Amino acid sequence: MATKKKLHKWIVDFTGASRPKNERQVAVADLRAPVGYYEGGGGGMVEAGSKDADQALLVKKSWDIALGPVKQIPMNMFIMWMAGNSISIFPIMMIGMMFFRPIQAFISIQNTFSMIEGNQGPLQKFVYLLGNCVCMALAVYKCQTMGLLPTHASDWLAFMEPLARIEWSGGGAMV
Amino acid sequence: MRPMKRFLSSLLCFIVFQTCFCLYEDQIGKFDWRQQYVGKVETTYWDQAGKRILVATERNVIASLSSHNGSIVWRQIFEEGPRGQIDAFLHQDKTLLSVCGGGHYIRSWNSQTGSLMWEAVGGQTDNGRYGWAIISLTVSEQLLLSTSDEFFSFDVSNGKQLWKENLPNEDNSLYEFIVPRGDIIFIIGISPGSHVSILESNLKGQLNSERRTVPATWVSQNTGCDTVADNFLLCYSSGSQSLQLLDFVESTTFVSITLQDIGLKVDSQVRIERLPSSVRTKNSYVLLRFNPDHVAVVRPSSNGITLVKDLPGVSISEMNQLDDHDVLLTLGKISPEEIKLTGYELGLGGEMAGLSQIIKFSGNHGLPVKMNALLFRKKDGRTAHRITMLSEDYSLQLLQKSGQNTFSFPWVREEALSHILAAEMVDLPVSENQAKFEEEFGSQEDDIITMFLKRFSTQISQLHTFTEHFVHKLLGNRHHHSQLEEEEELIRDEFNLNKIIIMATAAGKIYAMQSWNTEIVWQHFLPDLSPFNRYGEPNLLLYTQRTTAHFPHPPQYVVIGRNKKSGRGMVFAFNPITGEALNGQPSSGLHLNYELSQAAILAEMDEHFLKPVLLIDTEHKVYAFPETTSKVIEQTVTPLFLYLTDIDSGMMSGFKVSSRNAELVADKVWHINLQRKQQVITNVVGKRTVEHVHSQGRVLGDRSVLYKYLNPNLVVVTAEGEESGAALQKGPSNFVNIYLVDAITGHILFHATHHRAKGPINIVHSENWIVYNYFNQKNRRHEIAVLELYEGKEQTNSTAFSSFTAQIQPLVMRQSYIFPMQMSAIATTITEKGITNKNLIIALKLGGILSLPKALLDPRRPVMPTPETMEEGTIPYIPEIPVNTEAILNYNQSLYAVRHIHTAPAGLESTSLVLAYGLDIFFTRVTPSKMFDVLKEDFDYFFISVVLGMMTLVSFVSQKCAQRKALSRAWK
Repeated sequence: MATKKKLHKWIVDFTGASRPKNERQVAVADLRAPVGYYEGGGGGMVEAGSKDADQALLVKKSWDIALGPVKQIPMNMFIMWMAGNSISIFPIMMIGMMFFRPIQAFISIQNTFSMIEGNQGPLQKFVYLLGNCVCMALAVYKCQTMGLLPTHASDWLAFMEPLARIEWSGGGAMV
Repeated sequence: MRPMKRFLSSLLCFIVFQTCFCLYEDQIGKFDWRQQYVGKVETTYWDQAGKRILVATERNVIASLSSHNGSIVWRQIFEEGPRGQIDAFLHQDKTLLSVCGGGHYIRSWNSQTGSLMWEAVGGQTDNGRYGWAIISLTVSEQLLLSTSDEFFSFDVSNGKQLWKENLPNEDNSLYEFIVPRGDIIFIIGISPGSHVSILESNLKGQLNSERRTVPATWVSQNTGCDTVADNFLLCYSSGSQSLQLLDFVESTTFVSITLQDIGLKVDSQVRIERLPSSVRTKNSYVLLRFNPDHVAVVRPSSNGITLVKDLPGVSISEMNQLDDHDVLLTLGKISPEEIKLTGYELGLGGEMAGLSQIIKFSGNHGLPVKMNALLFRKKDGRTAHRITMLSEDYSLQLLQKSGQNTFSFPWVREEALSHILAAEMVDLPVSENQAKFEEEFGSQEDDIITMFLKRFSTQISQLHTFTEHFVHKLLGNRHHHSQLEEEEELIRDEFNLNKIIIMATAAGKIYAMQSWNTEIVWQHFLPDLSPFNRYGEPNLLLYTQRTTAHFPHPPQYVVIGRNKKSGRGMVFAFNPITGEALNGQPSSGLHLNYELSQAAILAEMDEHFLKPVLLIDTEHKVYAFPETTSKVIEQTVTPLFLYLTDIDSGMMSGFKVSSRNAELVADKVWHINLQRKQQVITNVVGKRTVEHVHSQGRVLGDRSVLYKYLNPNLVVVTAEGEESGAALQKGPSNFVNIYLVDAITGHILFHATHHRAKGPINIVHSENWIVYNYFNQKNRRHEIAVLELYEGKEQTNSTAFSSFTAQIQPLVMRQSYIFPMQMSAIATTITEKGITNKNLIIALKLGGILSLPKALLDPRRPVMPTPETMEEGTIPYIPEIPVNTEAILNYNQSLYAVRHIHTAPAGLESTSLVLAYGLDIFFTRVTPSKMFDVLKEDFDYFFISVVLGMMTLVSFVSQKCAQRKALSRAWK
């Protein structure tokens, strides 16, 4: 590291990064395009050249994204089986992760969908959604097997109100 | 499998007992206290030249009290009931003798240490006549003892029986007097309705075969008689209103002398005050009592009876000796707060100046009842006086000269506190600020502006008190005076752990005691109040009409009892914090003009937050107390029912209360005949109305719910009887019946019989369970049984409970266990919200107070544990209930003759307050589920805060370091 530093005996900064902010901005705005540079050019030419191959690549890439959650399912199932049903810190953390991932995916679903392109888009989007839902369902199932879901009457017992008293009585042995 | 099971169960037991409450050594006396008493004093003697007072009491206790401060030097407690009843107590020179159980046990005690010198067994008590044994000491140190049909003599030095004679008893003679006269012993018996018989015996026990009878048709069992000197028998015949005098040595007829003959003008009944047998023979005067405050002294002689002194306005008088003079001491109340002590020198006739004085005497003690004076000359020739005085309220006090010829009471023993019949714990009132707070959030009618103004004024006053407090702090603790004042104010503590204990006693006196330092806040004596006593079990009713929560209304408690004279009902409503009478009543209580048979308190409140008390007279008429609340009863929508149990006829009946023509009436709706001929009802126990049940069901191993059967009107009735027929051949055989009765419909929900079982039965009835104990005659052991009631897995009505629509037959689960000890009382803990587990508080006869988790008395305890029961957390069934010494709440402070245990909730959900009373009083707090809602006492606040501070600091520093490092890395 120290030797590398010593190699730069002098530096000319063309980016303007070390200059004060206001100066730098002015400098960048003033830069003109090089001679012969055409702004709209280049891209169109590439597109025209390998359109079919790109399309296939795009679909393949989109399928990768769409199948991502589904691919996690076997691993999740394995972890579920390994973690067991006891309530302790690791299974709880695992369940937390299982819930967290699909929820995160749902939150950023707009971003993900914008990445999916091509003619198979709707199907891929559906598969992606389904995969996440299955992941979620697995997490809920795990909760159920661990007994964390309040599905029994006993789970709501603490919230029951005491019975109202309709009749009132008093008395005892004669005094 | 078997060892595995045993291992599992022992492990579980271990886990359960890990949670038991027990104290560390330094916690002794921190939350608990014990007060020791001796009971209502019957006989007193002076011992060790006035240093000690020997007493025998109604609670079957003999004790020696220090005359210096009234503390107990030693105390011996006999059995409860007639077997331990003290028939005679005698102290003469160095001998201290007691006779118990109808002349059965004769014991000699060392009067200094209270240790037993010897014990002898005298007469048999087969005829069940207790309290008739009488003793006397002869000159030759021979103890003479007579029971109803036998006559014994014992050697006083070692308790050896010298001789025994049968007394002729074909005419139902009650031998009440033994009079030694030289070598002859006179035994005088009374045959009610016919005659008085006189037997003579010599010191060797040879009865003179000839029995003299003196006709006396006026004599009855209740006739007051006493022997005077060694030759007179004086009786009062209430029929002819005359004194009957017999010289039993020489004469053969009674001489009748009317009161007018000796110059007494009295029209009330006369009682002859009996003297202890040790002073009887020396004494030649008799004290006649006409009224509680009118006595007269007479002296019988062979010429008749002469009036020595008529003493109107005097409550007690006593003959004493000083320098061979007969001194008559009298005590009488002259004003509500003063008594007058007067001494007369009988030989000279005049008043003794040094012995006549007016002394301040609190009106809360009633009239003096008994006195025992000790007069002696000190070495410097001055006379010294010590007088023990027993008052109407059972209090024992010492009266002695202090300083410059003024008499005072250096100490008082409130012995009524060993006769407590009902107790309640009262919350202390909140402080002024808190009250304002509650006022602010309590009312919903105010609009926003007034609420804002209130808020503002409250905060101003808070600021004011805070600055005041702050200034005080800055000025230092120089103002000790104001601090003391602050301490004296009765204000609720943070967790509402400190209460005022209201205790109603058999003496007719009500006490309020601070639960944190045993100090008596106030006491109030009601001279006319006496307990109900229909079935030989004295009983007073104490109800909470208004708690302290309804500021600015004062809290109101009410004591209901019987008028001593008329036998009618008597009610006294009072403020439990100050002891003042409420409702415009006189401070001597409100006298009703009807006899009571029961009373009940309602849940509904009137507009002043006062709960009405219903009083039922013997004609089943219903009255409301206070009368203004009868409107509430008329308007109430809740149907109101009452149940009465007549033990004499074995009938239980239910009544519906309704108002008709602006009058409350009780209509009989059901009755149950419990067959008085076969069994006697021993207990009728309902639920406590203050109890909250938090959980409506029980979670089973498969996570389903077993709903509790929570019938608020369920009553447990037990009846005991003797088996007849074939079962009798195996020896004595009793049975116990237990009934669960719905008090609304009269429906018997459950009935069980325990054959070959016997009482006394103690019952706890709480939530959906009942715990009771009995003695198993077959296996000769004490057993404890539990019943639990469930509705099943479905609830018929999840919002309200009505006896008319509820299920007819609840699911009853039961189990019984062996309890290794005899118990005298059971209660269960009670908490504010009912979330905390329940513990049973059991008073053992051995002196301990045991706190037993209810989980051990659970009918769902499985015989074979399965994973499901393990999941539910039930302990495998083991027949024995272990008595763990760590669960004894009162460690080594043994409590004897406990009659009742009262529990009350504290402000903390985890804590329940326990008060055990009987002969002694014991108070403590229990936490059945440990202290889950407060930090432990030894919680290290300093350490934790230092660690927290350090961690915050470290995180800040490390954040800065990390930032710098990241920056420098970006430069690479």
